[in-house]
Amino acid sequence: MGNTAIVGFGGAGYHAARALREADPDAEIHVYTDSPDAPYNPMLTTYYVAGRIDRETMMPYGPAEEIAAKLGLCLHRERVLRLRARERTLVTASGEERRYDDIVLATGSHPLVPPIEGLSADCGAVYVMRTPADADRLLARIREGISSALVIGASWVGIKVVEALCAHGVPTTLADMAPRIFPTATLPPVAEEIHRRLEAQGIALRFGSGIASIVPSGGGLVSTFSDGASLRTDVVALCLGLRPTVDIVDPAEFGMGKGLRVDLRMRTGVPHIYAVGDCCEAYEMITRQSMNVNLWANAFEQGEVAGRNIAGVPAQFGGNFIHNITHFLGMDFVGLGDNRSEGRTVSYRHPTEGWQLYAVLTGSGIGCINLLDNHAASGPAKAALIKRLTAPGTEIGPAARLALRESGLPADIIAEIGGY
Amino acid sequence: MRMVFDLDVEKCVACGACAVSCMDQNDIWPDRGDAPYRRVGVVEPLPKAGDGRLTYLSLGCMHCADAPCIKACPVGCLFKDEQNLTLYDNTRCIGCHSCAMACPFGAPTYGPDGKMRKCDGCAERLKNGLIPACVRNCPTGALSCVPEETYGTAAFDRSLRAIVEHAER
Amino acid sequence: MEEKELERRLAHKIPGADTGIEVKHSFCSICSPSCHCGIDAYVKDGKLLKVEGTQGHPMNDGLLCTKGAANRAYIYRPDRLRTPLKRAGARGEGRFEPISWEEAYDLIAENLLRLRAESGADSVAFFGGYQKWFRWQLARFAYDFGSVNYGTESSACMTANKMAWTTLTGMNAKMDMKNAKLYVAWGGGNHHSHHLAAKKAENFHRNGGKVIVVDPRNTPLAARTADLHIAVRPGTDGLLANAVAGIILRNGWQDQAYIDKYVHGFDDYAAYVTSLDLQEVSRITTVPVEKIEEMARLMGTVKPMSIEASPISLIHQTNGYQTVRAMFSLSVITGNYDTVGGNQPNIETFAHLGAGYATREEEFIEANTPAGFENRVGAKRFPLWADMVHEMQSLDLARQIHEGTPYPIRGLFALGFNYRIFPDSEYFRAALEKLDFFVTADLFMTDTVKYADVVLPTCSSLEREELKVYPGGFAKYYLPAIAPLYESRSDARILQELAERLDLDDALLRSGYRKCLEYVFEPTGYDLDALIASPLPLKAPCMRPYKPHAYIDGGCKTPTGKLELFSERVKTVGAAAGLDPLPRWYAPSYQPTEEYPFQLLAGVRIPNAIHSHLHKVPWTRSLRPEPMADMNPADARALGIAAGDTIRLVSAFGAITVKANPTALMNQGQICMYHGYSEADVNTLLDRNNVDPYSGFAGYKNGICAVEKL
Repeated sequence: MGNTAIVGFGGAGYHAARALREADPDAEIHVYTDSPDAPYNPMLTTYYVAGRIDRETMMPYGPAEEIAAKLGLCLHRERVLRLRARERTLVTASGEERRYDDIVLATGSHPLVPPIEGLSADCGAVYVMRTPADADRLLARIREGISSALVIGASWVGIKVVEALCAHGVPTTLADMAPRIFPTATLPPVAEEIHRRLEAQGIALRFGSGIASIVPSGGGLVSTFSDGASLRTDVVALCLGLRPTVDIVDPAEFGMGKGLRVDLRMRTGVPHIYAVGDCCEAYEMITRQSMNVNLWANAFEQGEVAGRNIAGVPAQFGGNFIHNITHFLGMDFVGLGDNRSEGRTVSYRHPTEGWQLYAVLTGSGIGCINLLDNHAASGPAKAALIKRLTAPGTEIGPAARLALRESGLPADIIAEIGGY
Repeated sequence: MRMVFDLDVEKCVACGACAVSCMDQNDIWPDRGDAPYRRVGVVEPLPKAGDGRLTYLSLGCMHCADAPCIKACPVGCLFKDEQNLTLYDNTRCIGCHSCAMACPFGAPTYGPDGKMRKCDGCAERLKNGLIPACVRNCPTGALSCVPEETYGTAAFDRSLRAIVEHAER
Repeated sequence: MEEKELERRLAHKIPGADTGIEVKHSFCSICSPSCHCGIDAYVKDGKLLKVEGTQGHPMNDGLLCTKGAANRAYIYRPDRLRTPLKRAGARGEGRFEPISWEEAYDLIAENLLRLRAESGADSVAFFGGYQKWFRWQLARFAYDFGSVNYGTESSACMTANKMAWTTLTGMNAKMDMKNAKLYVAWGGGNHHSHHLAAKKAENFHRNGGKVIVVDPRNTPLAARTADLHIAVRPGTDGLLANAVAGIILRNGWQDQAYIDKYVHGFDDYAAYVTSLDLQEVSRITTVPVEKIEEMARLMGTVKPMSIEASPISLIHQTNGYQTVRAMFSLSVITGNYDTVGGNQPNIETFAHLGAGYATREEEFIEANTPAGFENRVGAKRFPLWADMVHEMQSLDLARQIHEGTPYPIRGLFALGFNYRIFPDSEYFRAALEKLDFFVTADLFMTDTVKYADVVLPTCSSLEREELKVYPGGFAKYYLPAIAPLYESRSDARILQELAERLDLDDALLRSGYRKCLEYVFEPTGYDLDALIASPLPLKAPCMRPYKPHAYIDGGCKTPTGKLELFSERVKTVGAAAGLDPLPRWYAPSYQPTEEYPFQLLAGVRIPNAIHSHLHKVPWTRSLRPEPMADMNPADARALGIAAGDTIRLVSAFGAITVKANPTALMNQGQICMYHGYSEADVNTLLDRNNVDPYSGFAGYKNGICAVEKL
């Protein structure tokens, strides 16, 4: 039993607190948050904007105070200005400095907004999508009435913002400097198919040129691309990716990559300081390197691992693994592994149902799998990829083979993926 | 009482009585587009195995101890009950299929409303002293659902749980 | 809160006073009568909510198979017949108009009586198919009407086995596996056809019993229980059996004292079986010599031994009767017949089941048999059948309808009839078009029903009262778990009401099901009301413990009173037809050719179907949605066929389009294709004249075909 501070009350912070409480009924747990909201899942903001869920659903564990009461947490709704890692103290906005036995950093991440010519911080027509407040803002603007939108960044968030705008009947353009959608996940033929389908739904696509400037014009904005073309829209949404929020730490005290480096027990290099969720980077199985992977399931597991370890129950994070599933505009895209992998490509397209699979097979395993519109195959395919990664030279087991077959894949493709 | 589901692969013949019993219990109608919670199948021998031995399986939710689907769900639909069954309340389900990607067995399915549905371990039957529908009718005694205290893979010729834990993940 | 709790209990079908869900005892009759499992029916407000097996039931003790578990979907199948129907369109078109039961009975009576007056009673054939339970009453009904032509679907199932045992011993026989040390499972799929038998086999194996499985397929039974698996080439089992007998005799493993005392024709038999050349046998059966020798050693030396023959697959070879007779002869020469742990005489108790005690069923059926019985359909063509079976051989029915010889069949009265069970089913379908009057009762609007002039809706076992007997000396009288759906009526009620309408001279039949039962069960000592009141089957008061050799000591019901390895009956009855008194093997007619290189085995069981009954039940159908042909993976590869590919099976008689299912279950050179699919009826690929001359059984497992990738 000791006292623990958890900085940040998102998914990772919540699960750290929950797991710690489950493992140690007597622990003193302090949670710091400067968010007005309860722990929320950022991925749900676009569902809220699209009108598919109500505001509370973005916060799957209920109001913060209720969680605090249920788990016996001391909830501090104040901003932490600084972590003094060696001293294990937190300096808060109220000027106090408090010492803890263990500190968990669960400070999350924030949208990347690079400097863009013409774009000022107070420019009302530019939107990002991360917090419930961001969602409120865009939704309010949509309700005021807009007739066009530009989404910059063909990312997981970007496509969902496009979908939300479409749900409100807003003609939308999706742009990215990269040549294709989900550039870190798609294989070119799958991306092409997605492009075709998006265009068929009336979404304008502009790939391959970056954004040069965004200049207010009348009530809207004129965005100019690096190829010289320009587009006037009522709103612009920037969905260019996330950056870990690590402003309270002194980088010199930690191993830093994109985020705070941690081991499989979620420990930073500084004793008793843990980092979990979007603010950290942990071991990734395919690249065998430390990587900042922003996934809800990671936040859950990492928080839980930290909470258990602090309580003295040894626990290890299973490792990051690049995988994404996104459901948008009537499609279902799954990207597993590293799409930069080199090897032999195998593919299958169902003759009548139209779903497809592309996989890049490396010498020893599966480098990457793309699945379009077959979620049933996603779980067993992911398990197959991990199995062959963790036990090279072995084939997948009978249960995985049956599950893949039940998802509709033909035997020869299963044999390729299964390694036999 | 915490319960454990398992299948004795050496007893299963993939006859499908479990799958049909599950459809009966849960009013699943494949002809109306419902996906079954439990599937059976014959897995052919690998060419290199050379023994020509077929593997017969019944697959559904394994109610994993450390269920990855629970972690994957963005809206918190999935949870463990006091019987250690992986249950769900899909009121808030957004149909994102994250749980499907988390599950190595393809256990999550989706209804016509797009919301996730899956085996609930017949939790309500268990609470009423009845065993799960699939186990109840299994003609070869391959499927079982027993209290954690009495569960041991030694009771099986070939426990699915054991092969999955050692070989599949 | 309380209301929510109740809602949840209702949603999960929890029985109780609060939910109003009652558990009623009933039984499944989707399958054959030997597998009618006890069912706990969850019922609320007269509607069936769910089924599970009855625990403690002597038949299934709580378990249910794939088919039985589907009872609710079966009973509420959307194409259930709701009212009596009168044909409005052309035959086969499927246009009907609903009529009342009174109108239906009027039409039936008017037409049957007209045909009888015009062409004689024999011009009307009476056919009993599934669900079989009414057959004892239907037979009597037919004979009361005056027709000799009562027949059943057992013209293609089980009866040839019974004929073989009866030829040999004078009675049908059963196994006493519980006390055996060696169990020979010959040709049964078991797990996928009779799960209760499979379970017994597994337990037997677990408890240290030796098991021989003879099956061309690599079945779960073979893989898991067999000490010796003999993957014999289909159609050569009889040769294998005779060769095994030869080895046993050459080694002196036979029970000579037993043979001397109880057996007739041993010398002729011994001369034949010892003359077989083992190398030649090995070549024909594709079984290595060492395996045949090992089989003989086990069968000759491990005692007691119980032999089980599939009631289907072996006798669907056109040498099936001789094959099973050869197999059963092994029980006799080793002295395992009529012993503890061997094969034992089996009394036919009631409705196709031997329960170990006698009733007056046979008397009930045969009492009013009309004169001219020797003229029944198929009697001339299949003299041994005619001598041994108190039915027409319905295999010959379509021919007689088509050809009108030796006399025309103009009317068909059927309860549960499917023309697709016959080889070259198209020929039978065409015969239905030629009938003057065709009435059938069924649960569903089947392909056959579409040809009927009048259709009567019957009900399932959960909707009727029925007395069932069970092996081990049991019986239970079930009351309906739910009322008959729509306007359907039970077959028994239909027969009673029609007997009345036709004014048949049979007070007993007209007195109804219960009274008929009282007559039949009078010798058993059962109190029928007690059989109703008891939740589980009760033991028969008349049941006596088994006494080894009691039957053979008393003299067998064979012409010589002995166990006849050389059959005097076959010699007398079959000589003119060239039938052999010895169980001599001959090759089945069809062997693969260059054009049709595969052996085609139609109707080998799959777990989710029984005939056509479940093809349209969504639950079972979902397990194997498409008609699929099982074939060996190497055969598939050679033809460039992958799993799920669309293929055509082609014979000289027809072609069907199905999906390929390459599986290591199969041996090379063989194709298994399940039957009864409207869209891919494998029986259209068979030769209707390819039949076993002894039994009249068709060569369902003796087809040949080519496989084409589409």
